[in-house]
Amino acid sequence: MDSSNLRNQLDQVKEGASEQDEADEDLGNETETTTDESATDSKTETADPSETTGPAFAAQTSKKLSIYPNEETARLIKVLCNSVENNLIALGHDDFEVREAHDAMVRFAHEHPQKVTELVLEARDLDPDAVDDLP
Amino acid sequence: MEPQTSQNGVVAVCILKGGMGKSTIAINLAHRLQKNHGKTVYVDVDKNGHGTEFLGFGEAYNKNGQLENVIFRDTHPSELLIETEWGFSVVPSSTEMSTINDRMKNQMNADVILKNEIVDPLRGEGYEYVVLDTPGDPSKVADNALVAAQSFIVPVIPGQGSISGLERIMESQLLPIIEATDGAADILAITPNMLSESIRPRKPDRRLLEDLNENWVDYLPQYARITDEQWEQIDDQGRGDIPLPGIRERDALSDSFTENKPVAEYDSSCDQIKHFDTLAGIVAERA
Repeated sequence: MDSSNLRNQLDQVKEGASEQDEADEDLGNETETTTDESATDSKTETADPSETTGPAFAAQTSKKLSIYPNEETARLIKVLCNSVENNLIALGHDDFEVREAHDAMVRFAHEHPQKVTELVLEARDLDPDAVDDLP
Repeated sequence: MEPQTSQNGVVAVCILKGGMGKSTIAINLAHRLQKNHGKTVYVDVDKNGHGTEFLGFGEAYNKNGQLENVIFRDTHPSELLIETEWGFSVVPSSTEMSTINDRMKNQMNADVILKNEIVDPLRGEGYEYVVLDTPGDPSKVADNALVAAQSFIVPVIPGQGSISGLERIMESQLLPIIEATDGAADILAITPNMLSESIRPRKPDRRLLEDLNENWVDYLPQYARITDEQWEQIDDQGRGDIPLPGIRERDALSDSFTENKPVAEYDSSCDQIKHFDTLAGIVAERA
């Protein structure tokens, strides 16, 4: 492109660009709060439906972790993600991101520590019902 | 009018902001240039040395004296070259880069030192393409890299400050070079990077893509272009067969660096490799 055109183009977009950064800043704040579970719930109840589409949190706010499941169990993560994606598509949401399922898995497990303990016992061939004896 | 670039095969991946994925773009661009077009060297002049570390050459990064000898004495830059198993060569960054930056300020012709001492001699060694991975902050080394390249690829990511980083480097560094060379220097591409979300309204990815398509479409590679009609279709009927714009975040891209490899060597099925091929094609044609 001609260099004088580029200078003019830059001058023209500068004002618009600063507006966008302000808007992104607002959105960044919103994204951070939606990672909080209670905030997500209240948002879902009150927000305009079009605002609830898309992943609940940005990739930039996700954390990469290593987990160490058994080899066969690891395969199930992909299977589960595919199922969730298919379910969402069936509900009209074609924008599933894997991190959303990972996030939900952690939250789900966190809400059911007793069940997780049962599964750990079961994998060791111990009696899963022993959790009922917990104080 | 199609820009007339200096046609020296040298390209700088640059933006005055960190965290934009410059090294990811630069390394994979170098790999695809080597694979598809000709002998390529990746030169890391970012003092952080992320690209060098990514490729597993941390030891070279910590070695003292060599780079300084090339820049300020008569040592040939081929002494710095690391041959890789992926075809392209690497000139690693160095912990000395900050010192070198300070010393550059006191030299005659302070902006053409990298060109004279590294880039031109390497081209003399038969490298058809030189990819410069530049620092994310203003510095004499950054000025040198841009003057040596005269062809620029600018990566931007969704979210805060990205567009203003683009604006900053254009105004303070790229435009002065482009104007001084009467358009021989040019921006080859502004590429979105690390896209990760849906392109529905009000999402950061959407904002970035709308901004780039509205204001800088001439510089957007085909993989990032979305027309007004396509936006309408996306909003009314869903994305359908409109491909998701690139370059997108992929596990293969981040994991490839843990394994110290360009992405195509780590996972040849990664769907973003084709975008690096597109960038390499642009460089081969115009840089």
